[in-house]
Amino acid sequence: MFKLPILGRLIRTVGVAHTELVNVMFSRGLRSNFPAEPEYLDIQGPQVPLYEPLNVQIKSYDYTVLETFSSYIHKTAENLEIEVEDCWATPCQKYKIQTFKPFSTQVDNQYNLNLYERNVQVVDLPTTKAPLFFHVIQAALPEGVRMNVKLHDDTDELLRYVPDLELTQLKSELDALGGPSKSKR
Amino acid sequence: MSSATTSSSSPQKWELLGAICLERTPIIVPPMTEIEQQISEMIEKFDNMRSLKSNHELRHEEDKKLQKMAADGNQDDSNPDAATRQTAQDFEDACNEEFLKFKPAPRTTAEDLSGDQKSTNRKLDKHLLFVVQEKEKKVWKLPESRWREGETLRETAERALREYVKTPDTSVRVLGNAPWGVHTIKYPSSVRQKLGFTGVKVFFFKAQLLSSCTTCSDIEYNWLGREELRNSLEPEYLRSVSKFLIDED
Repeated sequence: MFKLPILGRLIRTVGVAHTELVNVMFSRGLRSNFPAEPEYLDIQGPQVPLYEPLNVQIKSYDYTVLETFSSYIHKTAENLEIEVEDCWATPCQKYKIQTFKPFSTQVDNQYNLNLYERNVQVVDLPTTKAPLFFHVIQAALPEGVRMNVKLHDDTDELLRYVPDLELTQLKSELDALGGPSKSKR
Repeated sequence: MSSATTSSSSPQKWELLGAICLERTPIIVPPMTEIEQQISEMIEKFDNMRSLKSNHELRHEEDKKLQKMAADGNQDDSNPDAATRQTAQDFEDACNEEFLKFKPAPRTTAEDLSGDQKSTNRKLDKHLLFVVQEKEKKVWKLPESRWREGETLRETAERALREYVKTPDTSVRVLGNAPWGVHTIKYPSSVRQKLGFTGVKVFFFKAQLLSSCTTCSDIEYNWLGREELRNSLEPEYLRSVSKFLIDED
């Protein structure tokens, strides 16, 4: 199914006559990368409805597998000519699990687990390509990785920022002192 | 171009059918092939060689140093509880013991061994496809039904599914509004005159099984893996269907 772009890559590396090489280079890649196309071709807008920005969120306890899988998602999207806007990692969630000895509160075992997360944001995904993309990714899901696809939410964006403790502390001190001065200088 | 000159000038009429390709997606990951296993072992070796010492290994070295000091007779009085502290070796042994106690679920189920083709609980690392047998001609095919005026092809496929599977009990995720594949059957010219159709086009819609499947009674059905599919379906039909199935050996 996806043999065409891959074949294009093979022709590139194997070294073919110059004209064929040029044709392959011009036919690959997103239209936005090609500067000489006239703009009136895009005036009508997309022929197929496009999705809002979607986040493919993958979580796992093993970050080596997770990172390789997120790069796989990125590569698959590129091969299907889907625009990947952003690819980020949110800080891991740390879990401390304690098992107790039977009928007592004595700790038997203690485990520290980290749940790592990666997000790949795809933008302008045509509705005809979306099922294909997600089906391929789902078929390639490795062990122990949970995948979740959702519309981009601004609250997800906020999780990426590290809170500035000094700033929040100063702000709370200012509020305690009665707020900022209201007089104009 | 050649067909325009030979056939009549009136446009060709096709019978439209919507079929549903219901798959049970794999539950476990397939086992590694020999090459994959060798490569993963080699990568592990490299990572081990290049990596720095972990907390566990540092603790082990500290313990060894303390033991050596105790053996030489230079008791360090500043660490009175050093002897009662759990050494890294003890911790490792306890972990190994716990690991041996854990028994993962078996990869091959009872249905795998018995070869029960009606159950979805077999071939957990492969895709299983839902095929039904047509009552009159005993032909194995994917569930299909004729397109009616005013409904989309996806609705036709969903209706086909409901004829064979009890839908409130079984939850199914249909992938997209666009068909994934098509199979055309051209009628011979004698039949064409009689029926008024040039042939049949079957449009396939892919769906994934989300829960356990309860099929309607008195239908002949099977959940087949790729190999069994090759033996059951007709060759032309199989070619059209396998164009949109995920490759598997």
